[in-house]
Amino acid sequence: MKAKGERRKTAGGMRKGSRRSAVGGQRKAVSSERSAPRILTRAEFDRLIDELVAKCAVYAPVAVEETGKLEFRRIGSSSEVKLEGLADVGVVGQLGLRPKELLFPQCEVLFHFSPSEPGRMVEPEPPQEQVLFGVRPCDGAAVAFLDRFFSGRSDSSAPSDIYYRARRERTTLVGLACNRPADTCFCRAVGGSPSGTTGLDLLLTDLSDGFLAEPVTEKGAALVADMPVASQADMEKKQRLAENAGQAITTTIDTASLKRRLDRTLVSEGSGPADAVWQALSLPCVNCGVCTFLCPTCRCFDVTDEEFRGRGRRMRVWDSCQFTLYSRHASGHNPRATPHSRFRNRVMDKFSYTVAMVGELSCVGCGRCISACPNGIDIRETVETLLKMLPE
Amino acid sequence: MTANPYRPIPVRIEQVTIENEARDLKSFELSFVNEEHRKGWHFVPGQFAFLSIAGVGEAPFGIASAPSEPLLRFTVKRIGTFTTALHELDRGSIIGLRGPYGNSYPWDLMTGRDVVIVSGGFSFTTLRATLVHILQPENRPGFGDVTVIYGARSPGELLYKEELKELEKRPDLRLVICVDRLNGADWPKTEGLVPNVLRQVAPAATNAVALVCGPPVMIRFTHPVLKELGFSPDRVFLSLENRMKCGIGKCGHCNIGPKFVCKDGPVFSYQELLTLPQEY
Amino acid sequence: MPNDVTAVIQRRARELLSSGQVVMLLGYRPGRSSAQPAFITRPEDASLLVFDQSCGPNLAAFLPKVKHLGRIGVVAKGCDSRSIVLLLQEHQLRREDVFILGVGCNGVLQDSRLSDSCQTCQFPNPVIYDELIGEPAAASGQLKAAGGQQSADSGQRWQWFKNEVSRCIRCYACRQVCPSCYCPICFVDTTMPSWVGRTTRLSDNMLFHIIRALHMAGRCVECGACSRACPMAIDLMSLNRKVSQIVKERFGHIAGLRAEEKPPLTVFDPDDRQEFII
Repeated sequence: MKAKGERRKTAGGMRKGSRRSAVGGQRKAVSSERSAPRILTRAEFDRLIDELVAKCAVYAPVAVEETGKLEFRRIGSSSEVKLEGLADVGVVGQLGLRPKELLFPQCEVLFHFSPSEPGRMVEPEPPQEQVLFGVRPCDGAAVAFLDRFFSGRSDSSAPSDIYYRARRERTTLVGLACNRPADTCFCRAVGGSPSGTTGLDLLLTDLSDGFLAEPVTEKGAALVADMPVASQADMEKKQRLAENAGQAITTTIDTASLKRRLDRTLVSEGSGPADAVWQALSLPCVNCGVCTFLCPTCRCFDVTDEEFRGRGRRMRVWDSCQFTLYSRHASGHNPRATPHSRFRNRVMDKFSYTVAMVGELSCVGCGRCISACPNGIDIRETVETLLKMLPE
Repeated sequence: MTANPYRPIPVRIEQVTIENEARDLKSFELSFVNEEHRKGWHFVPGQFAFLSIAGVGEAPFGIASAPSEPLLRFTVKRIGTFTTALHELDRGSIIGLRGPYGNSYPWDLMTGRDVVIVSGGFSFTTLRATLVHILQPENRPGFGDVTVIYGARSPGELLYKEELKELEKRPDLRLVICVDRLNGADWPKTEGLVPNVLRQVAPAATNAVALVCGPPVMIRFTHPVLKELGFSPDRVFLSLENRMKCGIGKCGHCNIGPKFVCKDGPVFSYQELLTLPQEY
Repeated sequence: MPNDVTAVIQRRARELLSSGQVVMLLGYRPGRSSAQPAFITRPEDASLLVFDQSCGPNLAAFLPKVKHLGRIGVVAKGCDSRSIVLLLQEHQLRREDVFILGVGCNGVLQDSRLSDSCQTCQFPNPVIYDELIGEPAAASGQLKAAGGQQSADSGQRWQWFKNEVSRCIRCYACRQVCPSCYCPICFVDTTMPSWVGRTTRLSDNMLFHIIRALHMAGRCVECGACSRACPMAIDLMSLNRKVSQIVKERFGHIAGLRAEEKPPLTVFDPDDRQEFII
């Protein structure tokens, strides 16, 4: 990984002001005159990246030596970006913690303070502009969910989370359609698509001899405004790729029926038989936090203070409903004391609770929890069993 | 950045009172350091707020004072890291406050009706606020009969003892204070567990609203008694105390099914709780 | 066509459950990519069981959680059996709580290659069992250097350690899958006092992994479950292997071999080397 600000020389040679690869601005839907899909050759793409690198933080998937996996890392030059092959999810695998972690960091400072000045709490500097390249459509959908969850609600009981919002407003998401999904992918079963644009600003499709770039928001359109407009043949090629990718995902989930069945188990009285189903399903679960930390929509956090040598900070850190401590009262009473009640909470959150809270499922079908579970628990099998065992 | 919902405002500890024999319950009475914060602070009995000590952390507590009282009161049991640190603070210390959060007791529904308050242990705090609010001369005519059953393990563990002794004298209030074991004490007068005392006192359920707050075990045994007495589930309200970190429906901790105790509660009708998992 | 070991496991599971000798058979069933733990309680479900090189999870981790149900039949590879011995030594399990179906193990696969821990396995065969199924396996037996190269100097080893744990996201998968980690409340979760900060800063991560490694001293059976579980591919096994080597050198002890033996850190011997005490 290159250090910040390194290798900016390419940017210096750019035609200044010739290109409106502006970052920031409103995430409003793209206007019809700017919505035409564009074509980016690899050279154009590299130039775009290098120009952005000079202006803001640019993240893209790169191969990480230690883990042997692709992860979003801050890049210093277009030469580090490996978008080729990235559309082949089955081969390159899922992308670890990010982009969630770039919008909702695992540890985030809320305030700095000094014990010598009680009552004075100083917010950190606002985050910087960032552009993420190669975001999968499922992760785009997850960001759209987080946008809703962290936004304020009209009844004012839940104001907007300003830390999330500050990062989100300074973030541009450039998606890359998945041409060949992995066998753990099931976005279509939960309302997504391997070529979906939800949450993204711009969607790229790898046409192998270049990228098709479809603006979704004005922010995205600004990045490619002076690129050549795509031809009908390009569009048809994209269409074929999208159809093939869609067909490769065969899992289906009747999410409406599932929610009805799950909601019946909510009722305190008479949840006995459902309890047995949850117990059986959760037996292989050891209540670690892998699935929740990797999940692009899991967003629970703890707040913790630190103080060292007269300098303190209040931070929030990711937490997981799978941990015993998550719900335990200071008195020792724990409303979700049993492992299966915690397992249940996660599944319910995905397929029932968030629908009630913000009107959306919080499973985007990325499959991270499937590949990362140390005991091979597959959410698709869990859901299948629930649909079979719970009464409608 | 615009208004930051995580930012505590400074408050000063004006008064610290040890509330029980075990000396692990203290009341902290707070004033606002800044006048503008005092003016902007409006709450309804039943709501809660976070107290904050920089370097230690934050924790939520029910507001034990009524809106009409000049100082904000919180009664805190020393039970964890934060409460231990708070207990070590004296008058004059500056701490943080954010809130008020949550809904409140169902004031619209309570208006014009009898009110039955059932409480156990140190959860009496927000119900004390409620009681004081109801008993305000300008508010009292708005309610019917008011019955309070408040219990603790032993006489020494009862909160607000002097105040309760005064309240016992009031003709417009039926206040029954009980303890699990009297152990020869001459006050209070009633021995017994809260649910049993409630059964004996048997307040009329017709046109009444019951407010319940207490430890989980008390809540469990109080429900059936209220049912026996004829209280329908939509007339019984509970104040819950799940673990929480943010107070604004973001951190996730306090969920009971799809509801957050912090923003959808802390007060729930028993009717609503019947549609939620028993995770409280 | 099930392999021989699978067929025998299925048959014995059926018999043990039918005759009431066990209330549950803890084994493996096929998952989408690798086998997952199976908790079989009905004889007719015994046909779900498999045994092959995808059977990675250390099943001993589940025994303390299900033993209250009654006697548990358990499929145990070499390392799983050593964990059972450890649980017996530490009184987390009684011998009569389990019926052990031992199997020789040719190593488990992770991402279609032999798991790191299996490459240095000295005990592929069960060290304790009620029945041995199939043929004993041959020890692969190569000793492998501990993390950061045994030969490297302490500065390099420290750098290696920092590099590894800097990736930790504190999901505690390593702890949760580990049969030796059965504490009801882990040191990392206590709040009064809070020994370890909850952040993923290097200092908090280092403290967590150092303390966990020390708690593993003389107790790690080197099954590799932690390394396989880690979503950040932290080489936990190298750290544990190093600690095991030190314990072997100083105390002549190898974890989980004999139930009647006491783990070295639970006993005091006047002959213990104690040159580190001033």
